[in-house]
Amino acid sequence: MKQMILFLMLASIFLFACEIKEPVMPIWDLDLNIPLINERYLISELADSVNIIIDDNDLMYLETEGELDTPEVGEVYISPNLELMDLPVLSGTEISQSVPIGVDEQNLNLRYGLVESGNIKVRFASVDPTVQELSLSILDIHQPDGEPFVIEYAGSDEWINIDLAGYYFGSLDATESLTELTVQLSATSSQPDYTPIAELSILMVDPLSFGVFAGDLEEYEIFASGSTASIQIEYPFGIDQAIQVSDVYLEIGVENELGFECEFIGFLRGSRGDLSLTVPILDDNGQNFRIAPSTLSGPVYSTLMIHDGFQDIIQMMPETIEIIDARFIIDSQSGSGILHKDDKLRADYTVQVPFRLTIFDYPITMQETTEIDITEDNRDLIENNLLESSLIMQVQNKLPIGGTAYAYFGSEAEIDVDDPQSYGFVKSLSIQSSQISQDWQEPATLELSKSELDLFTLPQVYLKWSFHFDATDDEVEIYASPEDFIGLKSMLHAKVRVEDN
Amino acid sequence: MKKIMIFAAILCCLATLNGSNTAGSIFFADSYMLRASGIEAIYWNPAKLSSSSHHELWLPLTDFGIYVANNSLDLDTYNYVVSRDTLNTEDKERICRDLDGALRLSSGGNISLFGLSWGNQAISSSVKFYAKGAISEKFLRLALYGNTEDEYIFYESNNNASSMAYTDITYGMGDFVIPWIPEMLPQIKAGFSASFLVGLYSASTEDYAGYFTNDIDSGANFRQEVNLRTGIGGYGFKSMLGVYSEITPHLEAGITLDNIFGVISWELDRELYGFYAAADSIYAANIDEDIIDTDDFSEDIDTFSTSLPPELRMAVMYKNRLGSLSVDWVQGFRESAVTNATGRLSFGASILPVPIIPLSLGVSLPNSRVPLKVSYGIGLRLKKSELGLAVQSFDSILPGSSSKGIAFAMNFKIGFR
Repeated sequence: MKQMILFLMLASIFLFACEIKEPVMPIWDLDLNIPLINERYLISELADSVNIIIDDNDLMYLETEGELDTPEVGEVYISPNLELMDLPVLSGTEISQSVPIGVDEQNLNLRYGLVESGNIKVRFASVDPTVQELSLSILDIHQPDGEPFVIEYAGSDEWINIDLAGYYFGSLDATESLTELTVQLSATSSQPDYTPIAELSILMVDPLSFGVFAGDLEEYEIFASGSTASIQIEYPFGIDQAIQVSDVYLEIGVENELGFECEFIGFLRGSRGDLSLTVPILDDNGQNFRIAPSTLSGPVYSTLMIHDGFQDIIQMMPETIEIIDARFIIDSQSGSGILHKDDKLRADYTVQVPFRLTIFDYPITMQETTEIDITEDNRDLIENNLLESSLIMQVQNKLPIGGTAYAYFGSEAEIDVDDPQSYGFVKSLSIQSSQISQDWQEPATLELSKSELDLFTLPQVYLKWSFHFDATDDEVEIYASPEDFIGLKSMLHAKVRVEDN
Repeated sequence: MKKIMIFAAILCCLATLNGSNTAGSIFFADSYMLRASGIEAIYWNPAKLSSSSHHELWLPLTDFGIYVANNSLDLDTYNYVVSRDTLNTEDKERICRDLDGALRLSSGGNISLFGLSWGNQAISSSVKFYAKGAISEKFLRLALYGNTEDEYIFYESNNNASSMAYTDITYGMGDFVIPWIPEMLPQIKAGFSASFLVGLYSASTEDYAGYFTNDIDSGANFRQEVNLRTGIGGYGFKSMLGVYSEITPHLEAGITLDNIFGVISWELDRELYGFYAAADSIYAANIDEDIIDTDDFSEDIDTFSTSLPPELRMAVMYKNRLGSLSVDWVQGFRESAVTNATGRLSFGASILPVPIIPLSLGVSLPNSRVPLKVSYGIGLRLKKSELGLAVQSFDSILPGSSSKGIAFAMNFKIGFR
């Protein structure tokens, strides 16, 4: 029995003398490789159908639109100077006489006019009591029903004021200007023929306004006002120095309701901040554009293409483009035409800037910094568990533009890429132009040391991008077909500390 | 996957609460075929059931053995790991150095319910539990080193779990002299035993496949698919044939074939559990999207059987009045929860410094599946009873902090005439 007890004791010593330590989880480091992204960024996704569009050939354009219009032209006014006083009326006769209207030197020639407002005064004086009939007809003034203007003596010697609204002068098919009115007098009485039996006076000196005017107008100006075409793009600093655009053009579509050809005078003004630049809108020959008149079937739409002269405006990377001081002029070259009081001109204009660029060796920097919020949990993880990390990036560039992207990280929003004190660190990635290679480029590694990672233990981190494009020898065009894209693959490598917390 | 791992771990833990082979075998590291007598003989070699007037009785729960082991980790490693503030590369390699493809856990046990032998017959009942599990070394390396490689492929051979428990009611007869043996040859005795098996539960990995790839071109991709078949409540049968011979008064040899017609049919509650998870081209940029496809199911399945593959055992034992030496070779015909297809050689020794206090020593040599096992035992042999205690160490000569597994055994039986 003693041996048995001895054995049990020995066995117990073997077994229970084994020290089993408290389970405490040690710390260890491991390497994590996390695929971050594998995306193909189509250039066509940049198109917003507002300012960036793609044409039928997949070429990208920067486009902005605006419009302008004139008010309704309103009535055409003339100031007649017809003053016929105490013309003897002879019994038994019909007298026909031309009377000048007195509209010379008013820069217009009236052939037809529908009176909107105006009047004519007539007086029969010293009328013989034996007068049986006494009437006046003006053959060039018509009543609304087409009958000539007629007024008969009704027993009064006072002035008779006739409102001409609705009457019209001349005729639409007249080929000659209306400078005189043909007046016909008809008188009968019991007096022998040729006996003066009355005195006729006609007075038309108040302005006449025509709601419809046909004839010739000279130096008749119609002013236009319009909206501003804005470009919703926040241009990076330096982009005006880094790229040069070409083949810019302005297209103005004018709808003319006027029956007159017009000369168009206007200026294109681009503005960015305090900068502005204004150039006249001229055709390829340096002349003002002329707008075709409307026809009987309706308004005529004219398209004005302006290729030259305003490249400098686009090159300044304007935020707004507008047509200013625009007006339409009916002049001596316009010829005869017709004008209705509610006629007007309306124009849409479009500025198109094809992405046909020449790139210069000049850095451009985004205006705004990007704020990155880092949650407390992530801050703790970065501080305690993330020892180092690196970003492996691979790019496939189908664009004919290459360069280097710089990411500036800092703890303050005011990052000045030229002042190293204003940011913590900068990382860069070079991308080759598709003219060099269209395949996936060699992976690039962006290392982040522990001290750099410590920046991300702050609640907010700020990022500012800057780009330095490679200069191009010639113009390059940016297309947006399905084959035009930037491919990006990225893998995050992180050395992580595992601990029990 | 987490569910599967937890389930496998639970199975292993359940098994460790119970016993393994008959307790006596643990005293000699399984070199026990020619040493078992009385009730134990019906499990080891029924030919050794003697026709003597000696009877033997097992009381409930008095004969039991349990073991739990793994192929890699020992207490030294555990203590070393938990005492380190930081694990460096050498420390990680120390953890992984013996994995050989997978961390393999196994456990098993046996608990007697009752037993009685009389003459050349015996009847007994016991409960047996077996459990195995393996998890790929790659999982551990992922946890320690991270995903440093582009591709990880996981195979069922290194990722599986199986467990089974059943109760047997075994009857055996022995001491049959094989006739027609020439007189100049030693007498050969034979015996048999038959067991009615009551299946308690069974669980096993039916299918497993998995991979994890991770690169910049295709992102992270993974797939884990596992099917687990379970059964509760069943019945079955197995039998054993054995022969042995006393070649000389000091030398015995024997052969047994166990698990003949061994099968358990699971009848009551049978289910197939499946879990599937997969994701393709995962990038952090699209992690918010619903990118992981998962599915799990359980469905009733038809009756199924768990076969107990035959197992051949051959043994030789030399004995004299001071003690005995034995050698056993065991060879399973197929890998299963209860058998190993890889043969195993074990040695046993018993010395009697004092006639009533036998001391035992056993060594089971390692193979690709089972590590070195070394056993130490002591007994107290009285006229009408016998008590023994044993401990077994895995992959270490002495049980202690270097052991990768441990087994305990106690046997107690009462003899009477």
